[in-house]
Amino acid sequence: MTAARPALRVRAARFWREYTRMRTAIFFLIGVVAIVAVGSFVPQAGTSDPAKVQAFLSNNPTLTSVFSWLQLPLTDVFVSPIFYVLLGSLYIALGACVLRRGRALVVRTLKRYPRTPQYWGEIGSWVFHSSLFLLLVAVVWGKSTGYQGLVTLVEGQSFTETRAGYDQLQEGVLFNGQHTGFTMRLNSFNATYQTSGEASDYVSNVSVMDHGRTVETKDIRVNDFLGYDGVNVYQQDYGWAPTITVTNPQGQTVYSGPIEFFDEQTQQGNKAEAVGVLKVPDFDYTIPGASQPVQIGARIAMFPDARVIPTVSSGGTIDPSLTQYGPGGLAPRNPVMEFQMYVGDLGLNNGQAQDVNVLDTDKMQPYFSDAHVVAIPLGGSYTFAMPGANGQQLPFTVSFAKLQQYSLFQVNKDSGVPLIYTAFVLIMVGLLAKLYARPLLERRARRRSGVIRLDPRWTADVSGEPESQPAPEPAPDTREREPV
Amino acid sequence: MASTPLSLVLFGVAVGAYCAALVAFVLFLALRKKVLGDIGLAAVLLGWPVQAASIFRRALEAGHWPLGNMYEYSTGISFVVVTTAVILMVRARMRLIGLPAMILAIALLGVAYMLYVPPGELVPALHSYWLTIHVTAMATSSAILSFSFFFGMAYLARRWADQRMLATAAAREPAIATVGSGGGGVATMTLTGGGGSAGTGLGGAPLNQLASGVRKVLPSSRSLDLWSYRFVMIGFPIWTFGVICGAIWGEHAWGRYWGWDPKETFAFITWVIFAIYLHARVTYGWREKRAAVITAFGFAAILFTLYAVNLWIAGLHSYARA
Repeated sequence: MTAARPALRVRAARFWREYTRMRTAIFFLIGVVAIVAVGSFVPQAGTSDPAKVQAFLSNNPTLTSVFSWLQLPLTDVFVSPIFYVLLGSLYIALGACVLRRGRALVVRTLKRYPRTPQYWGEIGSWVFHSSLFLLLVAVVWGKSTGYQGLVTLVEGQSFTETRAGYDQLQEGVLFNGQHTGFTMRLNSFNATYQTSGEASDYVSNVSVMDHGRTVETKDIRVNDFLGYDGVNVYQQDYGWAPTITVTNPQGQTVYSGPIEFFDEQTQQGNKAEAVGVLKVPDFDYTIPGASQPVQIGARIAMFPDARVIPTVSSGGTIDPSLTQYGPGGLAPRNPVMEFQMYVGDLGLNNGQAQDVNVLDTDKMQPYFSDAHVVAIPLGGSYTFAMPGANGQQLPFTVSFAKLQQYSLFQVNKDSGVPLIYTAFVLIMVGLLAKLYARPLLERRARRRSGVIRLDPRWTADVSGEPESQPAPEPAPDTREREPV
Repeated sequence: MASTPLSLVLFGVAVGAYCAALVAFVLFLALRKKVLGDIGLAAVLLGWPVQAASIFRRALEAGHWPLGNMYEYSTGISFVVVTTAVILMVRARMRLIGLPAMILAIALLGVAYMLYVPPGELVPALHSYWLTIHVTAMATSSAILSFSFFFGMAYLARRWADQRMLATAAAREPAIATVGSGGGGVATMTLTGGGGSAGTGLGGAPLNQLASGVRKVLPSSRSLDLWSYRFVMIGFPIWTFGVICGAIWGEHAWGRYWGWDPKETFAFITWVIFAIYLHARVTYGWREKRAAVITAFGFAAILFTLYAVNLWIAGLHSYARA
């Protein structure tokens, strides 16, 4: 036992020396490049559209099985253990290097060795490499003590910066739970378009209220965020929010409110057509003979500026009931909704969280057996019928009351950002010093000594060489053992 | 159809001049007549101000900094490539660098033309002064780092030619092998010595001719290696700066400084590859051949960052597709 100990120590020391060599760092860096490259070619679960990730996996079965056989990450590279292990190994080697070189630099500085050009290069290199640590600390600190959330506001709506105020919220593990509690109201939203249909600008006009009074009114744009009380609000996306009103057979208004519509799946960014889902769980009507109340739902397409596609009936005349609609322009000149109505059970009671934008029609029936689509223009309504007692048909109506826009905001608190910017500055300073201090100082020294008359612009042996003297033979480099 | 904008006409003239220069440089390499190199340079010097005018004119037509889409971006990179080549040709008297520079510049301009869009407004994501800073830094460093690849490949060619000549000499007169000259070292010489003696039998002569040709055309391998390093020394900090500016811009526009978006990821990969190059240069066993090979990976990564991400992989940076 005791005899084995020195051997182990020797072996550990050898491992450590090998591990902290530059050569090892190069292999770690190559590893990082390889794994990150996978992450850039393959759609990633966290950042890409889930459908795209699924499509990639099913389109590349061989690659998928090879990667899973090798236990390598494919669609979750940036959160995979191997990625963190590589990064961690690299940072450990980096740490060893920063400490060792830092100590050597301190000794050199304290003992007042001559300040050679190489010394300043070393300082630069040390600053550069230790700023990478600062960067890591800043990122981890900022993410763990902060949070990021998403908020959707229809024009006129407000949001209060509390946990409950968000559509989606991710809090860091060290976040103290203290939200700021200010209120932000979306006064208006405005998007303008180029003739090509691409957005040229979109602006959310918001007011910030704190302790009951308005403290700020601002236009939030993609490149112009709102910062208040350490929290930043960014313009992310927007869309149409038609207000739909539903009245049940008893004449009660059972649903009324704006619904956020989204871009068509295949045409992201195109606001000339939007799709949404209506769910009315509390329709408050029971079909006679049924055991439980009926619910209604609908898949809806909405065109802010519908193009009318007239359809000629078999008789040769234009039949208005067959008129179809398609996407036209982007301004809300002729808003029309197309409804596909479903009746039955929305499936909300099975205890599972349901996506508000997906209609689960498993336990529902289409209102029209031929999947007929009902068009409702803005301000209009459509009267459907529900079976009543004694074969009676009871009317219920759906109306398209109002068309507004909603704005999607990203809300962040990240107190690591100033530290990150500091690291950025130090990285640049260190890098420039590392690369330029030595050649520039050496050139100045040579010029001053006047021994060699060099063309100051384009001499071959200015700099950058590991040795300042030309080395005719590849002798083992003294710097070889300096890691990273 | 609208009439062709002046910027595009000037673009065409510049491409014509560069093509003429390319022909001259190819002939210069083949015939080694100094006047051909000068003609090439003259053609480049003719095209360069025309391209500058085209870019300036485009900026006026579009009303923004002319790096807002892939046409403008490709054009911008090729302009920096040509500018760098002009400086090298005029001040360092390296006519031959015009050859790879023209190939790259014309290729970039070709892609630019394929992705041409008429001058127009920017998408909202690009409404920022960071466009000027970040994209200019990325374009400049992409172009500059490409030169480290040119010199890296020239270094490998010259190194191969040197070793080939040494090996041939060694095969003829074995005694010379004991004289360790050049960067190759004894071990390498013994290795290639075998190949050299075999080469003298079959197909050796043309290769030897090629090697001696390479030695006549290219400067010493040590100087080529240094030039390669020099361009990393200039390009790498600019790339670093560009990526940092991109992170700050991302924080301003999207509320996150880093998101592993494909374009960001590839910019990071390129950065790490050139970081590997810098480390390789001070690591025994890596500093010579391998360091030069790394520049090839770096160049490939630059091209990927530039195009592949925009054209094949969708991401937040895909607005620059057009």
